[in-house]
Amino acid sequence: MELDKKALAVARLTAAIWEWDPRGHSAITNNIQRNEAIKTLIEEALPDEKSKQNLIKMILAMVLLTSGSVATVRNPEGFSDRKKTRWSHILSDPASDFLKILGFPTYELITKQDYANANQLLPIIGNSSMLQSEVYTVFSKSGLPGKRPALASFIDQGREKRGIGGYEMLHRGLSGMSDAVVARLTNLSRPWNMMRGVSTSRDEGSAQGFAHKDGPNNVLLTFKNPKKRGFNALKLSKYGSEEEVVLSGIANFNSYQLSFYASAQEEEGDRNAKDYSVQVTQNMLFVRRGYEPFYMDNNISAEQAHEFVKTALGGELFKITGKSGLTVTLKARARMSSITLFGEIE
Amino acid sequence: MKLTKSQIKKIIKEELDTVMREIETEVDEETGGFSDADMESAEEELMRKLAERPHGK
Repeated sequence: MELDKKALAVARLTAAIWEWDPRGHSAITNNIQRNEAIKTLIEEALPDEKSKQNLIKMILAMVLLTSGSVATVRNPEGFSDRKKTRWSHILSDPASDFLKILGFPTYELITKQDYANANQLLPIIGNSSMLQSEVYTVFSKSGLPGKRPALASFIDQGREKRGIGGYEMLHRGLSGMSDAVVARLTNLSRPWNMMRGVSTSRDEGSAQGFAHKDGPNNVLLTFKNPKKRGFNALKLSKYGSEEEVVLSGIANFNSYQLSFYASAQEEEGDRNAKDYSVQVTQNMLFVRRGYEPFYMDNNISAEQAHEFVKTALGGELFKITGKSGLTVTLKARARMSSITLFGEIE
Repeated sequence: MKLTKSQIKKIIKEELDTVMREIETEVDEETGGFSDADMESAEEELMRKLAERPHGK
């Protein structure tokens, strides 16, 4: 399946238009202005029916991932006729307006074929990459900058031109993960296959929120995205505040910061016992006893760091001799970790 | 066959040593850190969670 770049450009521009505040008298007049701008864009940039249909499929795929049954997106064979629902029930207002402009009947029931289409399309649109200049050309040729200078100035002056060329950094938060997952995350030698299309956010704060949603272990993944891959769902998603970008690709992680807590066996039962906080990166191990630095080795290899984390978070006791000469036998506290990983999407 | 007191003591000590060795082995297995198999299943858990939506199913 080939990517329709013109349709993708219109999708990115539409996501940007929904972020624009036309400063009308009310929310309704603002929506009217946005929808008029989108109509102009579609009429000028997508005159042929095939591109319109391609764009509809992209939007529907995004909608099923963000507010449909995600399990059925992953496995369309699991579609249940008994749980059929209408598109209108899971669409955001912006996506509903957009689809209506494109001529899609939003009152229709979602079918198994729709899930199969999404399953096929998400890896493609999530991996899509389009230059900011290419998207801007579509915008310019539509005549919108002349007709709506306020919109043009909104896009021109926004950070990364409101993401029409994609985002350089994307984030994802995971919470309530097992200690084994945290240990796995410290293995930097293996790339991750995320080609199915996953939900990420352009907003680190939003991802941080999800990293803490269900308590520790908290995981924050930060992806450098040099090719600016991804499909901007943003306000077109029913969960617009999450500022979602659907991303697919191969991720390589190259660094991390992990922290967890441990207690010393020698101090068990001692009311003056100190908490030990352990910080690990791919080349450093640092331990504090209470507030005091206790041990530091900033010359370990990524493999050594990973083996240490596997041992410690796996519940095995580990001995550390502090700079004072005191040797303690530590045991990590279960499910008390936070880890931030930094990687790059190929 | 009658056993002397010292023979009984010796047998009990040998049995006790065997039991203690077995207990130590079990403890080692429980706290030996994560195995490669644990890492494989952790990767599956991670990919499963990543495939879900941040705001839930």
